[in-house]
Amino acid sequence: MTGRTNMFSTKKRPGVLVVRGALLITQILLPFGLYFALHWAHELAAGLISALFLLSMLFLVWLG
Amino acid sequence: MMTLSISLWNWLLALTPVLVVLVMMLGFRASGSRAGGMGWLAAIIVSILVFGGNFDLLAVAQVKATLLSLDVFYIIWTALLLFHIADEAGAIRMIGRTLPKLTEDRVMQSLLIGWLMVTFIQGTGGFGVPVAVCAPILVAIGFTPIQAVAMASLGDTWAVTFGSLGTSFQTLMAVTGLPADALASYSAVLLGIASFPAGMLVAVIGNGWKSWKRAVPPILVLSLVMATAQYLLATNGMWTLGTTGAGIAGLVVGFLLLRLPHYRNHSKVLPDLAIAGAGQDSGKSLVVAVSGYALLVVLAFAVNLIGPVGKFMGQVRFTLNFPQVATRFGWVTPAGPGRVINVFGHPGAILLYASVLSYIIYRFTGYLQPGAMKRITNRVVRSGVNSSLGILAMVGLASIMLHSGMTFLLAEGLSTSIGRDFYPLVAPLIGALGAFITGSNTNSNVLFGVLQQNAAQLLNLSVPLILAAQTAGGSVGSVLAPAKVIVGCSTVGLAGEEGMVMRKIIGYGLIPIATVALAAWLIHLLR
Repeated sequence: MTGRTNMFSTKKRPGVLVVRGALLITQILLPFGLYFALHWAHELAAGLISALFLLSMLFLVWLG
Repeated sequence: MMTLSISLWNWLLALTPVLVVLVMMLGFRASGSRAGGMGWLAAIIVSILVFGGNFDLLAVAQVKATLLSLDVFYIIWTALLLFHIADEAGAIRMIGRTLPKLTEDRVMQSLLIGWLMVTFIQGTGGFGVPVAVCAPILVAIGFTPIQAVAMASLGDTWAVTFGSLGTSFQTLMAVTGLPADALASYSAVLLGIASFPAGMLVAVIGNGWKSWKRAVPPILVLSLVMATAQYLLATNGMWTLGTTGAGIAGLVVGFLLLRLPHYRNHSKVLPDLAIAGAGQDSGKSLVVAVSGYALLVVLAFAVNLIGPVGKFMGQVRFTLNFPQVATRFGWVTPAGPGRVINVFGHPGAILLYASVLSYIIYRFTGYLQPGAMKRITNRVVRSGVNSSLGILAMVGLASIMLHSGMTFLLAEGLSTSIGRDFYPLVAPLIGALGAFITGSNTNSNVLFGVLQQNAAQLLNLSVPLILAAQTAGGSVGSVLAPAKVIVGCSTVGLAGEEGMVMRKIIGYGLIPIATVALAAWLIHLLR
């Protein structure tokens, strides 16, 4: 490890693990919800699930 | 199927998601999950704005990616479980103490675990299992976590195509329609040649550049033995056992070499090993302690090689069917099933059986201390969650690129801009690129097998040679992929520090790729 400042430091805080676990479960389940929403041609549900998934990915980038 | 016309601009745009991941991980030392998330967002934007991706296409790509990720998680989580159960029972500490007794030579220790054992496990294991199993053992015998992941990863570079019971090779045959007789010879030769730099890198990363002189003789012997074993198996219809046989031959000869005084006692570079918790293991037997891994090998052989057992275990399979999707420019992904998960015969299932059985054995022999279950669960969850988030994003990125025609454009751009005489030099790079993006030699062969076959025919080159270069490049590229580095890091406490490890292995990884490229080029010139 160098002493240089790292703007994308990746050391995890202990409390973050629960949030990351919830995020992982969300990111696994949402695509399956999307699959069945598309399968049953439920466009509103598909749109909402996609928006949630996009938000979850933005949250992941923020969380690191 | 059509995609965008090839131009440097379109090619660079197609490369953008990969560049984002590389810049984040190598330049900013970002974690795999953050870099993967940013690459995923870049892939979505480029797909929609440039490659004509639409909602249905992106949805299908993401659901398929999630299914594929579950397949990978099955292995990672159960590999972590087996490792932490064995670690709690003292197995890793005991291996760490026993190996220096077999040989004090650090070069031989690093080769035994980081190259020979990795190769053997790759024979039946899959997605990152060899690194997940061997990297913690390397840490236990005194190598740093970064060294351990780099050594186990680079030691595996040559072994992937005929590993996992030849899955990648089988895929290459399936997509190109060529038989094993046509493809096995050149593939085994190129991978055999790549075994030498793989061994050298393991020795040098573990022991510094000064160790090269001491490392050359055993590595020459062992690479010759393993390459010959793999060649004979692959060209005689036993390509499913190519890597397994090579690993066994390598381990046997490796242990024979240890009987030579020259390699048995050489303690100049032996560090003072102080393995934490060593006092807890008094009175324990090494045989019982490593029974978890022994069970893994026995179960893997039983499920994969005993027909009726494999058939019985493979009865329950899970998948989803997907409709055809297409970009605005006409790049079509046909309808069909996604990744098929063999619930009870999966490598992850085998790891789970080995974990449960070894837990029972350790429990009844008193190898586990009170509270072991809680500690094991905590460690598995901590490592598993962090690595799984990164893998989900990386696999999603790869799937979006694939469904949008971006990956194909990247390979097509490379193949059409290179002349006949130099194409054999570039073919391994295409294979490596596909594997680097998708994290899989098999997927690279699915993506680029036909493309390389067509390019070879158009340029009047040897089709088997070019396809061998494709799969050998894919073998190296798959081990360097961020998705696999994340797996290795998760087992040695480096979750979130994948960028540092990537920086270490990418440069070294170019050496086996360059070796394969040069070998393919020389064979082409000599034909």
